[in-house]
Amino acid sequence: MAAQPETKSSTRLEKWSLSDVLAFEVAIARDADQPWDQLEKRDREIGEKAAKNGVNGSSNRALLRYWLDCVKKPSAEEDIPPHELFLEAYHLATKLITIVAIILGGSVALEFLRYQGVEPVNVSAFFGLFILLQIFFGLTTFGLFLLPTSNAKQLKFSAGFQLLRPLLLGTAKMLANFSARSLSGAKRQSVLSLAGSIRSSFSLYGLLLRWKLFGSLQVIAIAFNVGALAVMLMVVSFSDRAFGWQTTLDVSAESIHLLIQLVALPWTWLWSEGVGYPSLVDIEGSRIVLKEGIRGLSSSHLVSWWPFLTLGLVVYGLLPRLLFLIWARLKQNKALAMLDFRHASAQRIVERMKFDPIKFETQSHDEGGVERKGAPARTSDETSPVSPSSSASVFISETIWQHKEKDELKTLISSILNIPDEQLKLDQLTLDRIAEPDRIDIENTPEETTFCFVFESWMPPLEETKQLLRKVRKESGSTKMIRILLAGKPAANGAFQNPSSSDLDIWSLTISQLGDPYCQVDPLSE
Amino acid sequence: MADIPTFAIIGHPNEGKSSVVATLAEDESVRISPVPGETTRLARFDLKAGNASIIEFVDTPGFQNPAKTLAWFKQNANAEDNIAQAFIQQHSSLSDYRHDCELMKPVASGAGILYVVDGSRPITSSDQAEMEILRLTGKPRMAIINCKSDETLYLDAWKAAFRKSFNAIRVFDACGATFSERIGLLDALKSVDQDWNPSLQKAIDLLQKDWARRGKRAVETIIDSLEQGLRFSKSKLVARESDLELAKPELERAYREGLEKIERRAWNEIQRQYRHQALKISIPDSSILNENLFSDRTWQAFGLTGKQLALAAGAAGAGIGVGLDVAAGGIAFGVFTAAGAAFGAGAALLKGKDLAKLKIKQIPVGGFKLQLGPNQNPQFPFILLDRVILYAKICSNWAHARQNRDLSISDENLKEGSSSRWDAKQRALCSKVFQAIRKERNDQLETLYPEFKEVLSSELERNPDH
Ligand SMILES: Nc1nc2c(ncn2[C@@H]2O[C@H](COP(=O)(O)OP(=O)(O)OP(=O)(O)O)[C@@H](O)[C@H]2O)c(=O)[nH]1
Ligand SMILES: [Mg+2]
Repeated sequence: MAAQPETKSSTRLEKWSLSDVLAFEVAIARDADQPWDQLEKRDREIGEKAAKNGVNGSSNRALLRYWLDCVKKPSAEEDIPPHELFLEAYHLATKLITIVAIILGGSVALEFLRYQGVEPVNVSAFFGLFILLQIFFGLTTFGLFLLPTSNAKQLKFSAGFQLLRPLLLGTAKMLANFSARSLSGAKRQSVLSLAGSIRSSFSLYGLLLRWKLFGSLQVIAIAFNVGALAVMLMVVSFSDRAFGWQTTLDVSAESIHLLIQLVALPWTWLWSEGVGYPSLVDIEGSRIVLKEGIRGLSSSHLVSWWPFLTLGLVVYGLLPRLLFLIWARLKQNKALAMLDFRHASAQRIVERMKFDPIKFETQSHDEGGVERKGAPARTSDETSPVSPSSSASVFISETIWQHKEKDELKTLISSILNIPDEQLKLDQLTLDRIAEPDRIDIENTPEETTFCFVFESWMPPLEETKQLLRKVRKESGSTKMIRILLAGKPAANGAFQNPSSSDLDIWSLTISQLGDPYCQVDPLSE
Repeated sequence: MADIPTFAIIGHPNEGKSSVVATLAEDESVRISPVPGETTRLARFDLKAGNASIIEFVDTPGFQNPAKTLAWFKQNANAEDNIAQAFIQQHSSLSDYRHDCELMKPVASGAGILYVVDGSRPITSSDQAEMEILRLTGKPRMAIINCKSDETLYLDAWKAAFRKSFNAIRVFDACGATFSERIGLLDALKSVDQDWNPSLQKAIDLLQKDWARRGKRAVETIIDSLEQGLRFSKSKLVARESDLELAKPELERAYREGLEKIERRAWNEIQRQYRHQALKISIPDSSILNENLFSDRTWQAFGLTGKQLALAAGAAGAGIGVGLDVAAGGIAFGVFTAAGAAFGAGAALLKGKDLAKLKIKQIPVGGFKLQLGPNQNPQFPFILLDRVILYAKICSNWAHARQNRDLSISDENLKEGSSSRWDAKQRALCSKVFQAIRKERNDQLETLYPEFKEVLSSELERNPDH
């Protein structure tokens, strides 16, 4: 491990790029196959190093950025890390599409500007496609993407995204349905958990994804306009083109002039009538009447159109897209800045980094005693940014509830949740409650209260367990942490053993199928 | 499929239901996996005697909503005649209940219930809910405790819980059950419901008959392969003297391949008999079994010791060429047969110990004939025999739930072959048989085989020691 992360200051570590976010998710995915104790050891070491280097411990962003720098695989081991590969592929695809867009813009423009000396270039068609249509697209983009549906739901997705969202989530749902019907066993489980992770990433990084895609779309649109513009300039500089207009409708030159004036408003201050756009005389002089041909038209009228068309292309095609692009970049950065990394998988790493085995051991030693020594060691306030909530409502499955004294359970759970035990409200998760989750009062629970469920690790999670968790999630808001503690089999002396790693894996797999990034699973052992 | 007894194997996800079905129905195609939710639909598997189905086992998915299902069952306990059927009707359109409906189907249509739990874990309230649900179905039921690990701490609690609502309780190791343990389970099932008694008894009888038939077939296969192996030889014509050296390794390879083929054929037949087609018994390179038949180590490690061999040969009363060196434990047999080696003119060209190993004849029309085998080594038949017996024993005792299909035998499992544990009389019998096979004395074989077959089948029946 290089000394490189050590040189970074905390503020620098607060910065996350899109590539970092991807790398972070890749690292987490990689960790999923590692044994827990090994990860614990690794992250504790990183945590200690971070503390030594003065990385701000109160911010998950800085802490995890430091963590990421430490765990990122040195490039020798893998030629290109998967996240880089993904980004590169994405950028390559965008580049290719961009090139195609330039060519497309150019060739469409060329087609419209074709002139064999017989008939002048038809201004109306060019105007309609390159200016009116682009104005329309610009306005719709603005309406769909940039106007939030309501200010209260700024974080939620605006109208444009509503189109993308059902597409992605629909895919996830289709995957789930398909697999439930046609796959069996392990394959089905992994497809389900894939669908879950799509949903989960979506709820975490949806905003980021949205602006990234939006930005790419703008780049492509810009390319199209640049292609058209280049061809336009080339055509007028290297050849002689005559522009004329025609229509079957009974439209007077005056009304055309009015429309032109309106469209040219943005640049009239710079290039006035006759320069920036054709004058009424020019317009009248460039009207094509089919049976007469262009012989009778004066060439000064016929060329007066091109500056107008070019400027229209710049102002209504290129410029708005450039603005949108800047907007997208700003939004993307804002979305990156808003990531607080408090979701379960991130939180777990932070906890591992801050875990202090010495304190923890002393604490569990006097646990058997009659008198508890106040709050457990890990709840001291300086270290508690780990757990933003200050109280918890804990539901304990019947078997475990009956297995131990309530106080013992409280101490144990409080040490894991990092919440003082007087702030814990313990309750039994009876069969009745599982059968009717409505009996659990969720809506009236205070905002800062975490929900925690204690289950037997050796029992695989069932459909009704998932239903219960879904219900709690639905009623408690989308970013509130739900904690799941898994008790190991009780030993002969009554103490909970460590849950087996295969049991933990089964639980993690199932929970990942919920697609809930704020649901955290931890072992409960003594 | 007229009234053969039908049993539904029911339980919590991942407890080993499918494993129990696989072993009881002798079906290796049952889907078993460490991930819960492997079985998503009910699947029927027939236990067959020969080609006739005698018992039907229905594999089912695990309970997914025990708490909710129990609540419903309690509400409707008295209102319904066939409560399982009513449950299915009400819940069949709900996707959350897909598994629960699926597992109720065989119950609704009258199958007996085998409730499977993993006895090596603590009992929980979900388990109690499931037991209560099954009780409310009112169907005859047996609890099967299938321990997935060695933990016995929770066994008593399980048994106590079962006593309340089950007609019979049985500990059954899905991955290690032998034939007699399977029969034991079926036997215990008779007591669950009087109505099952006659059909189950009939099934058990048929099963035992079929088992005996398979054993007999296996013994015949063993003897077949022994005859083929002992009489097997390979020869090759070589035109020029100078080609002899070149031909040697090729002939050696052909000989070995031929022997392997004989063995493989016997093994396949045995696997077929015991319905273990997918099983691949592979023997790692480190093991004495896989060491090629010709190396010294195999001679020594397998079959008999030199002394046992000499005694056996003496008892057979025949000079099969066992010299003093064998009795002294110095086994110096080579690959190729030494007996009766008639060396042609070309033999002089071959050097050293190779001289003794190869039979080379000059052929009148010109050229040479090289012949390898039949192998006259006195150890050789014992090794062939031990290998094929071992194979048969593994197959007959292999529970169908064990789907780690690439089985490798380690040296630890196999310190010695079966024949080295036989008594002197049995080994003498073997020697006589081998000799008669080699000499193709069919009249002698006819009198020897009945007793020899006895020895083999009792060896197959002997319980595996691992
Ligand atoms: N060691 C051992 N493992 C067992 C035994 N029985 C089952 N298993 C293992 O337990 C796991 C689950 O077995 P299955 O037979 O698929 O369980 P199931 O009840 O059918 O599971 P679902 O179909 O998912 O409900 C598999 O990995 C089996 O190998 C046993 O007796 N001993
Ligand atoms: Mg199964």
